[in-house]
Amino acid sequence: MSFTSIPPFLLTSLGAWLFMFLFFIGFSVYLHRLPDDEILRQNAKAIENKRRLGIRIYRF
Amino acid sequence: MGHVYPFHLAIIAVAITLILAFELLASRRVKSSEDMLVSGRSLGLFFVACALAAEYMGGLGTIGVSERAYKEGMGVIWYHISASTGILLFGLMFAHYYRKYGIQTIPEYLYYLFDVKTWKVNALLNFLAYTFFTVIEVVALGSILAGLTGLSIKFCAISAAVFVTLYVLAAGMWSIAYVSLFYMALIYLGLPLAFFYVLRFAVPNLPGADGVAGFQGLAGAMTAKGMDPAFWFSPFSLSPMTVVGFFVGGILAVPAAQATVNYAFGAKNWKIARLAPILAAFLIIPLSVWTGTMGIYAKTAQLTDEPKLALISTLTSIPPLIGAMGALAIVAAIISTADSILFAAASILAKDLMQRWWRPHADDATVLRWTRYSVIIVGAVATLGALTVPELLKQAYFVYTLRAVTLVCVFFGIYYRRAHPDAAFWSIIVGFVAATLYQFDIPIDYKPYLFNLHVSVVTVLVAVPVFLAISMLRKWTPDTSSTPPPLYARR
Repeated sequence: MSFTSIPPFLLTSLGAWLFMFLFFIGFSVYLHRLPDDEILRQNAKAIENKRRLGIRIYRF
Repeated sequence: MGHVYPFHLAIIAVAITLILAFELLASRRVKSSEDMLVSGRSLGLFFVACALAAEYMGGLGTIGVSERAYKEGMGVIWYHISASTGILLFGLMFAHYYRKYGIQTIPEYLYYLFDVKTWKVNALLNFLAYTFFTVIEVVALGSILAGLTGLSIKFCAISAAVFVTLYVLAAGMWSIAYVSLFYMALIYLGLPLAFFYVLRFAVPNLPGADGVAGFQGLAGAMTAKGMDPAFWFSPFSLSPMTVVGFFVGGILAVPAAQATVNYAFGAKNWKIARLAPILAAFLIIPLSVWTGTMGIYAKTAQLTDEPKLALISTLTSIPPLIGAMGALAIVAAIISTADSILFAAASILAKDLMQRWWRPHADDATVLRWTRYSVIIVGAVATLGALTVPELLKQAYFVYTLRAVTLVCVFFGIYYRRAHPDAAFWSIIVGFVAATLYQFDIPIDYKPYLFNLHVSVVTVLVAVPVFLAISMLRKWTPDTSSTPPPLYARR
């Protein structure tokens, strides 16, 4: 077989590595642009249920 | 392998000295239980990412991957790609929810999502699971160290348990965060160096390589040995079911695993908690290329007939200094998993079981003291366990089941509007009973009928319908989840 110096598994792994690197850069930019208080708007559904019904959530 | 033992021992001794110096530095940062348990919530991006990645790079990710490459080829790269996917999903879908509530343990989050009984049952099971797992990791670490140094497994396992206990005791999460940077440096130095040496200098000497270095020379040597490089170097050399299994395992193993995700609890803010897992996912991908290639080299060079020894035999066949650096990288990968697991068990014992459940009015100095006692208790159990019960591998199902069933609860709690506390509680119980019956073939061997599925998949297949059915049948009312936790109930 003719074999180049970069075998297919290495190309696949490098591809995944590159994807993860680009994703990291993109996600960094995305998070940087979000306001710091954005987290206040992110609520778990079960916790929203508790709030809606007036169930007290105690802090541990 | 005898001639390299002194080099390995000397390099391990240097590493231990450096680690203990690191820990002396880290111990100065501990002033409160929060410093000990979640690094005072001040970990930066690299600390969190390295701790997460190092925790995931255990024995399976190094020696296990090399063994698999020896047997089935380089399709093994999917092991770390799938693990990265699990860590990525944790960052995208879970980390910010955890960080928002400033939690210190996963069972605590189950209280916020659901109720007191779910927290209690999960805390108990988490403690038991991670304590068992600490023993298993310590025994695994002892076996590796014994293989490298020629000392007895028991001596190595006990030394490893004592060493890990000591440095976690110094500063808890700070200890692990500091030492994880060191471990990652060892992994990123030792394994690529050994990988490079093998391809550049060892491969040309193989029969059939004709003096050619790199993968081209290795392919020539494989052909001469009757191995088809097109198969062994293919990313699809493993069966599709195996690769699917990697992905399912990678996804189930991370987002609700206390030992893996607790570093995100210590992140400076929610953005770092979300971003660090993506960086960790990036960091772990190349590991299978390095270790897998060395596994294939061991097979081609006929260094061993035992696939489990593929990586070690490669490292002991190259010059001692480089081989020892590679061996140290493996030890770093395994020990960084052991310390996280020990710390996970100790955190839950100190915070959930001792403070929140047993003595909710304890002051912070007491909790800090209890955290240290907990590290000692879990470390002592690991040491005794390593001495007395070396055959514990089947009990590892306990932690796989726990991570899977907790993930089911957390996922539905965050994303499913009707997720009900009773559903969470009963899915944990039923999931555990089903996993135990499956694992120990009670009363029959289910595996042939269930395609030999991994126990964590069986847990999910049982827990999800239970969760959904109970959630659909039960309605939220103002009385749902109204029992206060012990701190408030006893006032």
